[in-house]
Amino acid sequence: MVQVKLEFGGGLDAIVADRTKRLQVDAPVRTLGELITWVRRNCIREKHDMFAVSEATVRPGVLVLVNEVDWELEGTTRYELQPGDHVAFISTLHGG
Amino acid sequence: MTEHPPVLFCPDRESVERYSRQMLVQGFGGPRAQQVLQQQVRVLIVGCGGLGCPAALYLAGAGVGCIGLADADRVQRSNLHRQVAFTDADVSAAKVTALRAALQARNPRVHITEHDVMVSADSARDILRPYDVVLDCTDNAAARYTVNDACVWERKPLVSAAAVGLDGQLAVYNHGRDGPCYRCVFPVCPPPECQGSCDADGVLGMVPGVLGVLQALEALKLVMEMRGVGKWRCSLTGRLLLFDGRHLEFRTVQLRPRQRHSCAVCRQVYDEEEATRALPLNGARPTTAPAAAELPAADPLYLDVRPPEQFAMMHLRGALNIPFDELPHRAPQYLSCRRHRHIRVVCRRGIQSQKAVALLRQLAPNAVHIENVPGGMEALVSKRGVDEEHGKHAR
Repeated sequence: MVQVKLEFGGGLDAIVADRTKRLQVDAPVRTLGELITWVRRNCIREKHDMFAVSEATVRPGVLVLVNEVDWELEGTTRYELQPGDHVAFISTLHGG
Repeated sequence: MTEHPPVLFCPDRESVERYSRQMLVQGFGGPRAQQVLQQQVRVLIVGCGGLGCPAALYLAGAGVGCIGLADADRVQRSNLHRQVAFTDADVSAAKVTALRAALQARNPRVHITEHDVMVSADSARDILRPYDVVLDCTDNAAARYTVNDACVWERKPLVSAAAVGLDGQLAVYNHGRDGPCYRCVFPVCPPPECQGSCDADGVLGMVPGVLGVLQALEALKLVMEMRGVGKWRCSLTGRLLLFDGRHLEFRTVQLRPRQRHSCAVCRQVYDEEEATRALPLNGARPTTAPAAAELPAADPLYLDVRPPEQFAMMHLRGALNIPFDELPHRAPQYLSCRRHRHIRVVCRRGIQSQKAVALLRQLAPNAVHIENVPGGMEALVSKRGVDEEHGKHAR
């Protein structure tokens, strides 16, 4: 069990249960990849494919941040979560 | 008493009137930077909508010499709440034409080029080649990838903004060797049902307004950095700014560096390029403020204690500029020089120069005669009969 803060931005909050932007959860996971699978099952209420199409990775156009840093710099799905980590899922915007 | 030398260095009257408030900003680079902006800088704005309108208005106001506008759309009434350069009378006019008129009304000195076409993979590289920097103000994912890829091939930095609903994002892509491109960060285009848009999801006009203005600010800093004038640095390279209009929060997050081996476009461009070849991002190095020529020993030395930005706008021939705060460590070398036995201190209105005189008398040998110029530059300008309006802006 690891306690993490979740954030959904760029419109992703619309598909989260309670349409909330920020959540604090205790997730029975170890890595960021496992967290994505868990969030898809437990926090997303509709249009699950807007968050993640397959297991353990987000759909194209979603940027994952760990403590305000691009997950690419943290080992992506293999990153081992620490208690209190802030994980943000930000959908890229295209409008203007 | 020696006659005051005439006022010498001053940019042309219209430049002073039009740009004085921005030339005065510390680090801007004064009239020299303004001249470079006017004569050398070319900026392309792709998309003349909610982002492109405010960005273009501010860049025209700032005196960017050449602005290119690319958009194939016509103005619709539903655009007006956020596309602030257009009026009701512009409805159904071509956006590039209506925006051009708005920019030229604001600043007739700016040269505008219209590209009344949809930027496509075929046309993008040719369109953006003449420009220094590109602003992505488009409204769809396909255009964003097209503009990005062309920028990577043509080595143009890309200032990219987007807005939907109450959310906005801003980044500077493809800047320097390590700054990522858009495709480095978002390698795969999202499926169509996940691409939000202002038409489908709505947008509050202020949100693209905020982002478009910030885009213009970063573009201005970027071109000034590239031209080597002023003390500019594009501060957003490698980071993404997230704007949440609902909670009024701004924050920036760290992006990955350029993905030279995995990004589909950077891989091609950089594999073909020799690794040692640097991106052509820097032009001439900064030139320093006008050199202060020393006067013959018989004449007094005019010591101007105003900030360098004010000095650059107008000063006395041969005057030496040492800002008031720097006097203690910079003045002694001049005070001990035998050539300067007579120093006259000038500031804007003759007040700070009195304090400077007191300070310098403590630092100087007794033989040096130090006096204040009463009333400062304002008094000199009015005595000299310099054009009233010009003088008001210039000093």
